[in-house]
Amino acid sequence: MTEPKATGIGVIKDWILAKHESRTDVGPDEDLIENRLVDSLSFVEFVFLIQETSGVEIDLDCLGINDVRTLATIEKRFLAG
Amino acid sequence: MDDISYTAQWTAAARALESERADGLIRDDYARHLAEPRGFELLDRYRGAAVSDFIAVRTRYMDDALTRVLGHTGIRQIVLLANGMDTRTHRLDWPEGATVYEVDHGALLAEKQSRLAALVVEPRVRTVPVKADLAGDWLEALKSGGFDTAQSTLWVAEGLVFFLTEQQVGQLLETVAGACPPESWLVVDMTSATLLRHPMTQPFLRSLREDGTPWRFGTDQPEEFLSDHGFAVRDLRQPGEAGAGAGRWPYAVTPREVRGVPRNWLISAVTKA
Repeated sequence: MTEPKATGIGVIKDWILAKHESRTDVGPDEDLIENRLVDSLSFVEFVFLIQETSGVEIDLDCLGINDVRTLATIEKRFLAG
Repeated sequence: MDDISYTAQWTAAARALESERADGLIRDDYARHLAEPRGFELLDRYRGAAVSDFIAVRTRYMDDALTRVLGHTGIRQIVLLANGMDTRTHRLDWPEGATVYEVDHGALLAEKQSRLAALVVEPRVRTVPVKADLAGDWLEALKSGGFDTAQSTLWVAEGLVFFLTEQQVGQLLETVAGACPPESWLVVDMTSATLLRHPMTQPFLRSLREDGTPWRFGTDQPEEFLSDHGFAVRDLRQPGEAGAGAGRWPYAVTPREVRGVPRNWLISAVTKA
């Protein structure tokens, strides 16, 4: 049996886990930035992924860092609805 | 040694780690000896901003650019500006008749020389150390060391200009451009203004500030900036592009038209007529 393909916030979580082999899970309220799960250079790719997954257009020039700090915030801000 | 010399140990530490990787982009067997005492500690302190990867990609880009320029131009006069614990004089192949001037703080030059001498290694090219402060009248010191302003020259400024103010960078470029004939070359890296103000890079930049070595200068228009100060860009790449660590750089390369992205530039340029 294969795992069902992730959707929504699961896509974001899978992307993070793929980049950090030592991790098996990311908590919904875990600070992705303080914990260095997303760094300054992977940030752009990360934001594009949120954009692609949510269909919400995100302007990198205006994005507040707190909008993407945890999986819970990302879900609420971009994926709820 | 002063603060800026500790950053030289930091980059040496990054080169040491890269050299020890099976898929390393560079091989610098001396870097580990030059990274002491603080290089690895700083590498840990500044981690999280892809610093090691960037230094590896930058070192290789500059090695390749330098070799390419010397191979196709006949230039034999080379100036390495504030090259810190870089060991290109000891690890690259140089053409016959080349002279490399290393312009840096006296204490740093002396420290590097004594550490390399302790390893019983000799430079592979005629090397002239020039003790000078790049914020002072370094050109006179360079000329006193034998530098000939009539000769086409290859200048290398690696990991230098982000420590200067915009005005200092402009002045440095104009001094360089005025000190040699047209079609002389400059290989340089720059960071972007966006990187300096991006919220994600602030912890890294804050650490540098706290350590007395703040990054001050970045530009989102490197071609225009260089052109305003006497240079025409012949090659410009971002880390991760072909010829700049493609396949090794662990991040996606974002096209230049996307705004708000922190970037770094690897550049080869020539002095304009």
